[in-house]
Amino acid sequence: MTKTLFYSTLFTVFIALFSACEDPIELDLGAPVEQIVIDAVIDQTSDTQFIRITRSLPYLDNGSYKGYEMDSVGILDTSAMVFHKFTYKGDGVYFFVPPAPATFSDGSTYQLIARDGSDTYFSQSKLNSPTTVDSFTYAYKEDGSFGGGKGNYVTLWAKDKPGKGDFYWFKLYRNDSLQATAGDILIASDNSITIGGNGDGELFIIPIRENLTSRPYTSGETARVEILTINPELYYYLNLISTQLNNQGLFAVPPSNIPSNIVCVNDQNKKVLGFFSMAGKVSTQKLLFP
Amino acid sequence: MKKLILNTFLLFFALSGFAETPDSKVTLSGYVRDSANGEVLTGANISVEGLKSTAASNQYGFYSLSLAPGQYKISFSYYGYRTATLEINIAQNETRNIDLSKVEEEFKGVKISAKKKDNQVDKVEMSANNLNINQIKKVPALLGEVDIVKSVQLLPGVSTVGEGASGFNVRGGGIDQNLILLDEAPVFNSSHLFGFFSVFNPDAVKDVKLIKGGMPAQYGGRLSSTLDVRMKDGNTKKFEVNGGIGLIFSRFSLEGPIARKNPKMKNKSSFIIAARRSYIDVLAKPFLSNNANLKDAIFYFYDLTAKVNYTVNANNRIFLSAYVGRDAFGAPGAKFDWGNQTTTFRWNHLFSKKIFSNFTAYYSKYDYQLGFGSGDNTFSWKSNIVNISVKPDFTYYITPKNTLQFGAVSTYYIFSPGDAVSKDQGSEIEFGLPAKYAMENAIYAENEQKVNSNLTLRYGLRFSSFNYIGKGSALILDRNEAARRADVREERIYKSREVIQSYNVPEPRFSANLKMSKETSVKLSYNRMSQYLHLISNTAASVPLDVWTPSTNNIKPQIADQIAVGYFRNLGKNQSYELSGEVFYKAMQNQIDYIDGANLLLNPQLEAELLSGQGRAYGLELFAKKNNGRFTGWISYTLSRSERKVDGISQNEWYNNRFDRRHNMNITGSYEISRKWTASGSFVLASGTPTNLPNTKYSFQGYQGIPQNASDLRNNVTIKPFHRLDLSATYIRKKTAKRESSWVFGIYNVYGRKNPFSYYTRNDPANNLQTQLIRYSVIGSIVPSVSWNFKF
Repeated sequence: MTKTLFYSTLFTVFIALFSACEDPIELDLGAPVEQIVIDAVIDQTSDTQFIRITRSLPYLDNGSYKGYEMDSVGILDTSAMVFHKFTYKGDGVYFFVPPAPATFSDGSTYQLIARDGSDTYFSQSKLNSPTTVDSFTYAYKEDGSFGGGKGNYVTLWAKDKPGKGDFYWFKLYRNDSLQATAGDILIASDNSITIGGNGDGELFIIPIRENLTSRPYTSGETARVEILTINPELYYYLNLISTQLNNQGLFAVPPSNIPSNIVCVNDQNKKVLGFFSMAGKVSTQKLLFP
Repeated sequence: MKKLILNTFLLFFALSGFAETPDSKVTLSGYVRDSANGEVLTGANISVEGLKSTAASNQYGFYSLSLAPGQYKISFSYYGYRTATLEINIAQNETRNIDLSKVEEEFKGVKISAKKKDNQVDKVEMSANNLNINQIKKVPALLGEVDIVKSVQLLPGVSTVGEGASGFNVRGGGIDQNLILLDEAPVFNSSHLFGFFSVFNPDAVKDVKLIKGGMPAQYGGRLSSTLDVRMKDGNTKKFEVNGGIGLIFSRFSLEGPIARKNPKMKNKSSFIIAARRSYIDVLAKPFLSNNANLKDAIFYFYDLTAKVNYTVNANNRIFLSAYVGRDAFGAPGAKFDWGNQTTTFRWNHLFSKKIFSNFTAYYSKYDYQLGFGSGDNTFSWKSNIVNISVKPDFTYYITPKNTLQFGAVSTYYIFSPGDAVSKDQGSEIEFGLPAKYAMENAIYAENEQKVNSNLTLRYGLRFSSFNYIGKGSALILDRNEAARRADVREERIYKSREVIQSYNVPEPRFSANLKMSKETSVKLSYNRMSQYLHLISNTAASVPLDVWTPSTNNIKPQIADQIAVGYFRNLGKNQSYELSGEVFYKAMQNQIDYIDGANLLLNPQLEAELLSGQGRAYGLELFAKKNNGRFTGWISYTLSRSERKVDGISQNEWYNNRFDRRHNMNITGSYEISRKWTASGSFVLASGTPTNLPNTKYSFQGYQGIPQNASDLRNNVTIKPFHRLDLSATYIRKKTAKRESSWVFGIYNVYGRKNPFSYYTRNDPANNLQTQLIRYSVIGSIVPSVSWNFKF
């Protein structure tokens, strides 16, 4: 994140100094290969759970992703040996309403099993317990800690769970809609952003707790944050998405593919995109700005 | 080990096959210098009439000739200087210091036919280019700032990934594979302002030599090239001030004799001090005041170069040189600065008229600091690489036919990859990576033998040894799947000075020159190079944040074997045209690559994310140069490939390197229209570099347009070609022996081409659901400039 901030500032100065320019262009990027994308992050709450299966699009095609219907999609609870089948709703969306609050429980391992004709897609993930939120506050400031100008800024007062090696993903909802641009991806390793030498069981550091949005809130808007305790694999996956979506300018790294944790068990050469993970979710209250 | 050294030396003495007993000869030796300022001249050509052999002055201007007693006519020549002829009847060992005068100094409307006798045909050296600072000054430069690295980029076999990219690529090698020496101390980052300007102040530089192949055994430690930048010693005769005022920065230098009035000190000691500072921040301020993000932006750079020398007596001379440079860059709440520091102490000592020695001790450091936030909430991060080295080198002029060079080098490295402190509400958390330590030693010996009047050989061996030492820890890795992160099985802890891993690499070096005629020669060379330092960077252009790492138990030393064959020909009445053509093939082992999405900064398990592969580069280089007359300049053309093969990347096939440029042509020339006006121009035309682009995209958890290269081929798209024309005109307002004043008017990128630096994909900032392919041009318009240079 610091790196992103650093490069973006650098980049702005460059553009100003050397009249560097960015022009959208068309180019033949080679024949696209359509790939199946499985998007499945399941939490322990009694909320309706969703899995989305689509097909990838040619990079410069700005149409919408097409849903993909499979024969059977669901989650296997490996301790109870119960298969929770998800119902196809159309447009690539499969849903499941947990019958009881602890349908998905902490510490258990779950498997994603999706059958499509003779192909079976598989992945496995452990559910980690959620952390707790102390409070979610806001204050009017002349400027945010990371710029942004006058307005209401939110602070997330929450701590990393005791014990090293916890990973988190912060999802911000502004006016009930998920903030999902490249700059909105916010993840943590223990209480800090990057892995290694972080504080344990401490408050999330400032670049997390005060950097939930670059744009202050105005009157009538709402804000809510979900903290998901995730596996290191999903942390890396989201980190790679962040790198790929923020990859611009003089210091861009060569784009690289993001490896999926889902495999086609009957044909290892069949590539599938996306990710399956269980996550322990906790949500803040919704703030309404006066 | 000792036995090996002894055997190596014995082998050399056996090979050099002394046809004549050295005792029957007498020695003529001395220094070749510039008559006007006392600067020694490196590589001056020395030829003895009637004898077919030639010699050259070394890097310190020293020469030594063994001759049978008798009458001789010996000429001393150097580019841009009037040839001096010494007629001497020599009966015993003699010392003669030769002063050469610049051609232009005598140019007062009288045409002089003093020409440098070019020796590219005679020299055994190949794949090398010498650039005198006066030649470099003629090349049109961005914003009128004379730039050594940019001039080097116009030479055959040299390329760059684009404008603004730091460093340069030689014969398909990475930017970290160039050994850049400033008065023998390595410079780890040769760029100011990322890559727009180089760190060398042209007022303090005497000459520059780029060696791409046929590497003398004296040099080692990098795979692809040596760029040897030599600083001026300072005028020993009078005080001189040089300077310039340009749009980006100003330069100022002062040089002169020390204690000139003391008769004992006459011509014995001199100094130079040169400084530059950019003031673009000051100039840009009014234009940026409307931009909230930039109004308090910090961006400047400076460098300071200083050197003193003292001739103790005829056999001893000492030099002390130092460089410090810094770039600073920031915005409110964020600051970033970086720079190099070097200090070199050298002692030239003549053991006899035939044995010249130089002892060098240097210190070199590159560091950067990064900080965010203020008050109780800050984040700061420091990183550096330090090396301290001692290096004795000897040249033994055994017989006229054999010159033996031998020596050793010992270097101690300290790597601090990242020292980070985060302060949160006043409480500090330290994180970062522990320092790493290493020791690199090498010994070498090399003989240059004139077998007969047509054949010259240079053969030698460098033996390098590297120890990665404690205190530290070593990661023991298991890589189950190619191109995925390796698992850390164990972390072993080592005590201070304990050897974690050792490597030894024998590096044979060989060059041969077969003269076909007076104007033509064919040369052949082979060299093996090893490199124990690696720059960890996966960006298209290297950034100041990139970290150097030593070879470890997981990172093997890089090794290159290169073979080159060349044809050299001089043309014209005064041999004023130099033509050459070379082909080369270079095979590289243990090239570092990265797993997809590797995290290179502050990563304690970085080694688990590195991959190792092979590289190969091959090509043809053509070069034509006109050295004198009113029109001077050169054309170079390179046809080459640079490829890589890494398990798990690009379907395990060879793929084009990020800095592969198929065709690369450079033309640069300068014409003296009148005594007042000189016009210069250069034109660059090169194939685009390959880049990696996605062909499909998908969404995950609401994040749109995640790129995916479904073909799995690395560097699947080639960027459009690069071309640019630069022009400049120099107006000499005044030029006398005492004073000089000139104006340089320049236009960079004359026809305003938006050369693509890179392509990248992004989500449309105006609509996150849509994706775009962006062409990024670093310089998107014409850049005019004017600067004023003075000397008095």
